[in-house]
Amino acid sequence: MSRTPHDYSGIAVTTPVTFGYARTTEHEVQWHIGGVFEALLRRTGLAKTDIDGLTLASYRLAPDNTASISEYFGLSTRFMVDLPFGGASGAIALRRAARAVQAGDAEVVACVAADTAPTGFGIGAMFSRFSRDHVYPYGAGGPNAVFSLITQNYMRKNGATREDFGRICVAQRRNGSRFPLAVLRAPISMEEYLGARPISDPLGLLDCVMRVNGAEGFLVMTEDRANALSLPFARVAAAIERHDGVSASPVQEAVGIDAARDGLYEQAGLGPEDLDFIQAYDDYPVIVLLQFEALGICAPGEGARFVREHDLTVGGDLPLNTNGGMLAMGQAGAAGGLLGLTEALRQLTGENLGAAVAEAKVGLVSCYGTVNYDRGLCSSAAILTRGRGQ
Amino acid sequence: MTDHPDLPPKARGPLARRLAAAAAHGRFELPVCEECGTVQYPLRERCVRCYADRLAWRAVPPMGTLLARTVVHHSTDPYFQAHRPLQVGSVKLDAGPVALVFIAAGCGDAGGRVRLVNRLDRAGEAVFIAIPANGTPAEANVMSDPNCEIAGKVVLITGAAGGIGRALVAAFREAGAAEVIEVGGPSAGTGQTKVDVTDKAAVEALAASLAGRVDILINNAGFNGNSGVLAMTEESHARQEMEVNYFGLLNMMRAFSPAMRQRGQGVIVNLLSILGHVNLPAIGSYCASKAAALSLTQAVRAELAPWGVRVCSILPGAVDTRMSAHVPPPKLAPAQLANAVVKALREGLEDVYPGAMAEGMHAALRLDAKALEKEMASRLPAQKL
Repeated sequence: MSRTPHDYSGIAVTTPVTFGYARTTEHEVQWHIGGVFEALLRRTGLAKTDIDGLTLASYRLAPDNTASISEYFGLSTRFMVDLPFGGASGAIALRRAARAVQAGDAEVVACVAADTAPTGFGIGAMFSRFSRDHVYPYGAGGPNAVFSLITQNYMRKNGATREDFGRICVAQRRNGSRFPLAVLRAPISMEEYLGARPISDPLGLLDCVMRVNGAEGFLVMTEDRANALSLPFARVAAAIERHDGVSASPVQEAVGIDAARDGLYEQAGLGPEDLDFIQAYDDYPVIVLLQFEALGICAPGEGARFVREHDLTVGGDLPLNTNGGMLAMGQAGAAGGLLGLTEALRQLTGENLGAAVAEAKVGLVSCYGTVNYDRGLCSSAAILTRGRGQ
Repeated sequence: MTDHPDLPPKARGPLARRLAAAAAHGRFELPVCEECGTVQYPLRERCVRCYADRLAWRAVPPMGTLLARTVVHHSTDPYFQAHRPLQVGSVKLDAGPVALVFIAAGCGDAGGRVRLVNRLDRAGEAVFIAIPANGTPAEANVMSDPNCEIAGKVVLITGAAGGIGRALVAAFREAGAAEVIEVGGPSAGTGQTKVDVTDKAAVEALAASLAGRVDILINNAGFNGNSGVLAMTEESHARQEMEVNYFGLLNMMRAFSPAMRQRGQGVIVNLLSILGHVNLPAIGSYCASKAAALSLTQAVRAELAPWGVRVCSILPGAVDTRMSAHVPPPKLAPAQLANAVVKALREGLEDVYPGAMAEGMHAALRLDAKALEKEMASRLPAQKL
């Protein structure tokens, strides 16, 4: 008999920041982190001494780390978490910060993720022991190669086609064309998708996210504090995470949070039918389908049929990645893990930078990441609801 | 010219050295938990199932099912980028784990049965290569390692006049070598180049005319005084063993290596002996010279590895030649030994123990080297004062 997790009542999630997205930069990652801090203070009117908690996700801190970053920015906190979860960081950062605020361990937690794009040869060789010893030596195709195998297996088992994945990419690039911070703003056609240069069969160039520089951030505090500061905010209806949750299947066919889905909706008192939009981690389109299946948006194996039957653009019946996701924004390392969460906050508070989902009251954020060997290890999700509007 | 030839990525952790060691011997081995029997891969310090640290490297069935495959058109590694497209996939081993692998020709689609070969790549590191279920390890040459090909290559064999030498010449001709240059010592026959490997100037002169085109150098010249160290009537025999088996080898490798290094490819095969690992006192000084040659081989292998030049050790037991006419059977036929050398070349092996005697002694060495020393000592005939 497992215990029922506490709810996230009283927590406000505010001040979504998306900063510094560009293909090239002359700066180190600290510049991007500092850009988020600067925006968080400027927009809230808080002093840096008001921020007493920090969660940070970045792959490019070395030789620094989250602890040394606090001195770099003269930021004295009483709660600090380093998040090594990459693309799964978003809902995990939210959970850590929310619990710290609920427990009184911190008043205002800044959740930040930033990365600069690696360049040159050898990317990923030293990501982990398994990667160094058992992945990189097999052609060094990086995540493209790993996810091509997952994609091929999904196609074989479920009858999905390249066009099915193309529908996701085309819809998201359409969304991205309306988002001013997107690095790739031009929409693409299905013909362009299918004709793209092959990268790792069956994946082509337009399945793969472009490495960029960028940063994301938001604040977690009590609703009372947010109201006192007159900040628009969203509430956390429910949140879950799972690590190494899919080790049983020879090829990844689920993301890991699948088993916790019922608990997620139960805690939220909501169901998949209540969702006004989804922000799902989109490093590869097959993972979007696996997240749909994990979160009950459709049945297992039905992801391809689902995307054939639904309009995923803003204005469609189930808007997906309303800022274009990483397919349009590019992948700024671990910042890609927070990209969906900040966009969900904008949709729910009305602070939109791009196209707004009409009457958005409930949004799902699904996060996934950390490819160590042959699959992503970490997954997390949160249901956010509109709190105080703009 | 670049300093080093283009080679696959070299960086591996300490556990992966055991994989490379198994590949060097042509073995498919993985750690198996002695507590719960779980076969481990990826490699871990402790059992993934029960966390025990008693993991024993054992032969495991190399058969499995191809789960999925892809063609890598873009790599972040310069060597792979130069060799793409690359066939890569994942295989569920019957023994349990899932392995990422290279896929050789003829393996078919996902769902099919394959066999895995653990093989040294050009950098001397282990990689798994899937071959058809009924395939042979020589098919696992996915990136066309030039060091694993014999057809069209120029081979130079020393000691060509002896029993093993003649068998090697025949085997490499049969294997399709473009040219087999036969170098003999004092007993060189017709059609053979007469060079004494202990004569440094003569060896250098030979290399000056040939090293630029020799792809495979087989150091087979040897001398055996056939005597115990104290029983020896002529101390000069011990010196001659070192001159031929150690310094002769040194001369040849030093003379022919630079050209191979410059070309970024080439193979040196040294005919050593299992008795380089453990001494058989009846021919004690010979064994000492082979121990020296074995150690020398390790050193040169390490020095040449960054240049894409492979050094292969052949460590047989007794071979049926005139040199070991007095040794009782069982003895390995020279033709069998020569075939083992050809196989070693094609499969990229590093250390080869051909024949039942060498194989058995190598197994005994892995089990308990001291016990084998005692066993060898017991074979010395009773002596009178």
